[in-house]
Amino acid sequence: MTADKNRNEKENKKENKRENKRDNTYVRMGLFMAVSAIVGGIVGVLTIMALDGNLENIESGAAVFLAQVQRIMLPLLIAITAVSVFLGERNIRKLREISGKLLESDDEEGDKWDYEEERVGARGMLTNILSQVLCVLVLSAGYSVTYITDGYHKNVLASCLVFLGCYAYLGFWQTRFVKTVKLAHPEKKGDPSSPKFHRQWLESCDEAEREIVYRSSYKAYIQMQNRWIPMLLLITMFGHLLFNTGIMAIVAVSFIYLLLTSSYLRSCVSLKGAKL
Amino acid sequence: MALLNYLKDYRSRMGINQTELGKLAGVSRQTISLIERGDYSPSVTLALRLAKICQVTVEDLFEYKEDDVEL
Repeated sequence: MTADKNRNEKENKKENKRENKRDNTYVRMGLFMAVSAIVGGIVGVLTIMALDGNLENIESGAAVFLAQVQRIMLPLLIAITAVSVFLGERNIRKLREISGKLLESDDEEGDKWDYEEERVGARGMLTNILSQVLCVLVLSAGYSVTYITDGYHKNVLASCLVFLGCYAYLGFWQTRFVKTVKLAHPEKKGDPSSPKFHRQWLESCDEAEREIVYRSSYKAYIQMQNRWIPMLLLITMFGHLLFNTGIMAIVAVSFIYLLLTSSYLRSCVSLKGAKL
Repeated sequence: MALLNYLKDYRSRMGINQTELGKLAGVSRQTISLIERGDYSPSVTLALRLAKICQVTVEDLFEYKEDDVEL
């Protein structure tokens, strides 16, 4: 009996030690920071060595690239608009087909078409957002007053018109997308032109659909908070350090970081006080 | 732990499809499908509503199976 008791005590002590090791967060955090600092230092020295004498070349290369984008800004924007319209129409057509099949099918077949609807819808939305981002990037390369010189302003004006046309199409596409989804899900509410659209849509979702929305939102928040924003901050800081890209990008990313965290925390606090 | 359910059996006995059961319960067909596949554990309210529609008790519809846990 006593031997068994001793053995149990020894095993418990071992288990506690193992748990303490696992729980030693401060040491792990310190080690992680030290390793990151060493890696950062090495990468920094290597970068400076690699860029030594090449900085001017890179800067002039970037200026040439920017000038090229400015020169072909109009045809580039027209091409983006054309591709956006082609892909947008194809996605809407596919969604309509899927909606029709969803209304006719049930059980296992319904599950298959549900997944297809989600997949095609996600692809359509991603294409839409990608087009918006590309349009902004291309127009930004040439719309600044610094670049607008005599004889160049007509090109900028025409580009702005194409940009606005593309944005109008992409905005209407989102409305059509919502209406197409509503064909197969008439219980869904929400006016896409209303600023309260997302709230209205969520209110018309049932509990399982809401759980999917909440889980996806949390995953997106975690990825932004832990991965993408710190990475973007690092890139913008390096950009400013090496290429004098300006502080505005760092300010914008930092502000987004702050806004994202504060709105998440504010929501957590208010939900704790509210009836869930 | 696992939540087993017999919703599909009871629905088949009633002779209705997922869409119809969803309409009766006030949820989407997808939610009924998720519950039947065991991919979603419904809230107490929805479980009670489903049991009422199937005219059985919640315990008839859902079974909580505990893993082997040393107490």
